[in-house]
Amino acid sequence: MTTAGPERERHQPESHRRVYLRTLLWLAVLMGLKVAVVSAVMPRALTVGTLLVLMALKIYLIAAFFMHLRFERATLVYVALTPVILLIVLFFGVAPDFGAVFGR
Amino acid sequence: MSSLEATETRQPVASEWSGGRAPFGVSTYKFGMWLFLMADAMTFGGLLAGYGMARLASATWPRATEIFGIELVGLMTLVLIASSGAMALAVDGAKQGDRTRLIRFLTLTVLGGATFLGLQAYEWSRFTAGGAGLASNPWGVPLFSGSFFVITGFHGLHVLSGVIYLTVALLMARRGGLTAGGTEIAGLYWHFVDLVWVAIFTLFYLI
Repeated sequence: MTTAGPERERHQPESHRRVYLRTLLWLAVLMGLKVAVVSAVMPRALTVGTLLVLMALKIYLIAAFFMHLRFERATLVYVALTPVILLIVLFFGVAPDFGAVFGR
Repeated sequence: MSSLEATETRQPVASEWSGGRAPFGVSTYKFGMWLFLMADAMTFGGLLAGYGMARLASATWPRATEIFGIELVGLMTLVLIASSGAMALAVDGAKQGDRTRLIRFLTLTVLGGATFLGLQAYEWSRFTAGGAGLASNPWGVPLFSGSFFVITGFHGLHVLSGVIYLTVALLMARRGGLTAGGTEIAGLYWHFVDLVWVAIFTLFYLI
């Protein structure tokens, strides 16, 4: 059975086209900012810190809007955050050993 | 046994196994893709953490932007971001039931992925022509080229798999056999590949 016009419209899922285009634009802007930061003469710590913040913003935009995590239940967001937390634990768990061994 | 009796027999079994609720609120297929991506994220995380340790352990580290050229890597990143955007629009087209839009943007996504691979092949050939190998390079830091080949190679394999996956999806879409859910799951994979590249681009090339 086919659905009638108005009923079909009611069941039509909402389009996220504008959200996707805006996300794409922001990703391009952030990418340009990253290149600008690398080209600018700044203290090394400031450059690294700014690049990490810009990277985190880009990852957030992709995960939240392109991968729809913004529209999913919190339980799925927790699943997605698990590897990030484990990576931080791994890095900062091992880094002190490396620092001690190599004196850095 | 009538079909009504069969339905009545099956329902309680399904109810017992489902627990009466869906805690993640997504289909089994989509959740399966998420679990795969999270396992994959941990592999990439391990590689990037290992790379970080290699940098900590090395007294010197070549500046990747000077070796590879920010223009080429920047172009590769833009191409991948644009293809990710095209994938998002393909998913939207599928959800709206607009098959023309789905096929158009899925084609653009595949072309973007293939272009990225072509650019990466060019980057690799230039790097190896300059004397860089898996265990040695002209800059005297073997871990630099070793990390480069392992990390970008592993990511490149993901892009290649994605291009094949999306080409199959495109063929299915042309025949009218690709569902909106299936498109979204393929999109999750492709966006993940883009997301990982954002991390590689920053951590390996820019910092």
